Amino acid sequence: MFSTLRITPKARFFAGATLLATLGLASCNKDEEVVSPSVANEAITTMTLTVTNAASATDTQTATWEQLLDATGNPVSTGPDYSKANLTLKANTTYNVAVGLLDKLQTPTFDVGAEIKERANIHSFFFQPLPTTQALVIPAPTGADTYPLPIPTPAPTGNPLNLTVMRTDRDTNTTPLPVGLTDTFVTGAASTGYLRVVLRHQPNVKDGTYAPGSTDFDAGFKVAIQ
Amino acid sequence: MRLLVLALLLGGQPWRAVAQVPAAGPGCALSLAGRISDQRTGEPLPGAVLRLAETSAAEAADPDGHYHFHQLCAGQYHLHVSFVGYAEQVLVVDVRGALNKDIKLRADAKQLGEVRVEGARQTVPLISQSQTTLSGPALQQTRGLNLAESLKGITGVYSIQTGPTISKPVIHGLYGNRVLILNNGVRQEGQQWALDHAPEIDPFTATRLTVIKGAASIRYGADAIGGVVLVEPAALPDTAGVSGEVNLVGMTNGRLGAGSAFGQGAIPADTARGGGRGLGLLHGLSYRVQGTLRRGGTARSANYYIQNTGLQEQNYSLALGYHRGIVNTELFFSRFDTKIGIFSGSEVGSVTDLLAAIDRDRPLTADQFTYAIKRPYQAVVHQLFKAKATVALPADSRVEATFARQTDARSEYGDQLPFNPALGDVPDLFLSLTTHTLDVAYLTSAARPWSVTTGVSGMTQANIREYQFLIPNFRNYGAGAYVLGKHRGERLTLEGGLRYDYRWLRAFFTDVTTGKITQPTTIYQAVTGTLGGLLDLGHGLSLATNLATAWRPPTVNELYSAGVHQSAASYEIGDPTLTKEQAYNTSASLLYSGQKLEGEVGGYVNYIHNYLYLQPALRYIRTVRGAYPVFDYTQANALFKGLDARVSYRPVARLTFTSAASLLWAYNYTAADYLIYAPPNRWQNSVRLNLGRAESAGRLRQSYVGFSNVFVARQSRPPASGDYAPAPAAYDLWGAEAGTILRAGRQVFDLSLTVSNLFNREYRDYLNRFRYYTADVGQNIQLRLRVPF
Repeated sequence: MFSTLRITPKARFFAGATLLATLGLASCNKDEEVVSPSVANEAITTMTLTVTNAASATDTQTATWEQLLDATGNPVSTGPDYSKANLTLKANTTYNVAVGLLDKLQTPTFDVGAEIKERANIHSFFFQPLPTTQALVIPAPTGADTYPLPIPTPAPTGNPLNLTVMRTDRDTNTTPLPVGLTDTFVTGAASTGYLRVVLRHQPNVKDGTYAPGSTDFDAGFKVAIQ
Repeated sequence: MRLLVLALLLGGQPWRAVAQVPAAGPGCALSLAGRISDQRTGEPLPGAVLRLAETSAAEAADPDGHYHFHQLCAGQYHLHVSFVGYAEQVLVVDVRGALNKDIKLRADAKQLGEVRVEGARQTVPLISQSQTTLSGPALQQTRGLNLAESLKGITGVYSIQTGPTISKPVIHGLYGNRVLILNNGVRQEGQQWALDHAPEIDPFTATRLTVIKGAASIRYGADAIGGVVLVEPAALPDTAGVSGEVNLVGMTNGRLGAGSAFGQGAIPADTARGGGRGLGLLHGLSYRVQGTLRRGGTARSANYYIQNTGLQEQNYSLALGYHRGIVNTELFFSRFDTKIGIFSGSEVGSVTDLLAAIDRDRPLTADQFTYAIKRPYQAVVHQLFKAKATVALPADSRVEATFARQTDARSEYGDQLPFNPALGDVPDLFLSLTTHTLDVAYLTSAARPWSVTTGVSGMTQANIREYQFLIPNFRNYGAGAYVLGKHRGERLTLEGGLRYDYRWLRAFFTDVTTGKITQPTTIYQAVTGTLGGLLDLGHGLSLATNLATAWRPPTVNELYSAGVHQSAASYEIGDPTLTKEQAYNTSASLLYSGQKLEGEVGGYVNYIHNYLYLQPALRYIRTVRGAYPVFDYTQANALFKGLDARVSYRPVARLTFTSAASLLWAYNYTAADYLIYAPPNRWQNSVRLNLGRAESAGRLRQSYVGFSNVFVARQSRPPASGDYAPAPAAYDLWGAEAGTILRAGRQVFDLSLTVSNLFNREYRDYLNRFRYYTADVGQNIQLRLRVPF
């Protein structure tokens, strides 16, 4: 017949060993209580346009559009800061423009613009004066998307903003394509409106057009030509 | 006389386990039945154990000595027949039709008194629920595919996809955390926070994949609201010698290659099985070593490549068994390591980009093939260590204790490198989950009319995150206790059970307003139950009905997530006040098994109280990349009901027609709307012709050809809001298959060819989340070779 005496110690041993193993491995490890900060590796918080009159190196101004993030990496609830996103340009004038991008969440502040220059072959800036009589290079927001503040949605109509933007730098793709980190703004007659600036990320698909890829940064500036 | 633990451990189930038998699949509708008796006296031998080596299916003879195997594919099988006190017999049977084979066993004095513990396998605890097992040839036809794709052909089972490389199983319309996966008897605890988090399992480790359809919390604990997937390896060998198998798979689509092999052996304790006495304590040892490599490049839809959809997977597992006296111990370790490319055209910033992508006929990405995987991609490593001890007790009962430790590390790489080169090539998201579980169960003899399974389980789990915020760090404790009883009568088997579960969850994250670490705690508990029966109506008919409840506590992402989900182009907000989700599931199925006709028709109703889901908030949050629609985690009362039907007709022995339909209706009563990603209705048809005559021994003896067609209707009941594009049109895909078994001396080569999407049709599937961006995969010719040794 079956002998219970033979089993019990073994059963007890195994149950005990298993329990000990559980406790041994599971306890005294509280790593989860240390919370790592939320880091967005590909964050861009700030865009600056440095605009210099081509005829006068001292006639220079900067405009800044900024969207900071909270502790979970989401846009702060107050929304973007566009109080300094204003340009006042002279009519019928040519300006040299440098676009700067920053990540202010890193300490020290990281110059994303310099890195975009390194990765120029897969990035492209697009500029859209609003209102405009031109065919739209950047499609108007669809769905319930909106223009970046301060540009109202839908975009204003009426007298166009007399601003022509030319991208002056080129990447090193086999057919070099414009990048847009340096540009020329040519103003026409006095007018007011907005300028939308979009950075597109176009890995392996950059062809000079807007559509391929996805948006890295989308900012708006208020422009007065007088 | 010593204890008879054999029948119990092998089958774990009584006679007439109709629903547990192997493999559905085209042409797999044959049956093998008969009676087992004592050669000398002619008396029936109830409880004698029959095992089909090829499918690992096991059955015990009923009180009259009858046995039945159903849903077999045509082919040659090795039938092992054993009973304590009798010499084991191995019969070679050629199954061509409904085969009746009576078996006579010879009493063996040598065997009397020997206690043998046959490979204690994970078995399905409930027989009154609808369930389907893939094993043997039916499983062989899915080799090289991922877990969810392997199960997709089963009625009532679907897969929800994120492009061609990432799939999750869907059972009766439920998926994700509502489908519990048991990997080698251990609850799979992976990162399951989103639809693009596929189960971290290598199907090559399994010789049986079983799907239990319907709520099944009772045995496995919380979460099994939709069903359970059992991934079961074969039992470790118990006879002397080394054996193994090599599997090679090549596919044209994605130029995917997969190879998997295992080797196994044993030093039996039992001289009758070839063991000696010379190796002392080593007797009783058995082992298996298994490894898989899988490489794939860019998948191709009918007309273009789906860029960056390669995959690289390398997995291995080690198993060690030791059987001495009444104790059977098993150690198991497995490592799953995968790198999966994500279609680059799915990286949309805002909803504007998404809508533009939907408007395009084809993506703007490059149309070329490569094996290279670039950003965006996922890299996942899942490791499982398991230790299990089974102790045989008097009266055919036993105690099982299973301890498991799992780690799951998931890295998600976004579409570009961090801008700051000082950060290096780091992921955008990293999550590391460590889980320890301990289960102890007591099982009484299944050979008696009354049998009971009772047990307790405990779990502790910790998750640590880095980089972006998707879910917070957390600590999770769980405990449960259950009792399951079964009474087996002449024609009616009744079963029922009760279970209590407790869950404690504490999250750790930085509060946005205070900047300090907050650690909210939630506690959930629930009692679940089940009641069911299986009635043998005679004439090959049987009826199974089941009433079950199941529950699921809210997960951390449902409670605390906050932020953009890039691949879903959505902004998801958790709700810390959510309560548990409770399912009330009823199902009934009628099974018929006759000479020419065989089939199963089952209906189910699953009412889910406080169903947790993402509800469109109908507002947008604007980031610097554009606007994202906001979705709130919320709760509603939802109803899932449907019908699964499968019929096989064999007008002549060599020809089999199979038709299967899966119908589902899912409705959200609280929001008075349909539910998103409810699988559309599906109708599968196939015909298979065995080329050889059953009695002939020619070269074509085990060769077959077949054609199949799957029709997937348009989802005509999409939700009114929450989807970006209308449900895609209905489609039907043709498939073809052929296979044969070649022999060179004693060596067997099992060769098969399958073509899916035969006519390279361009289509989009409602359950593929990348249907917004790209068509689904086109023609795929798959060649498979299995070499057992």
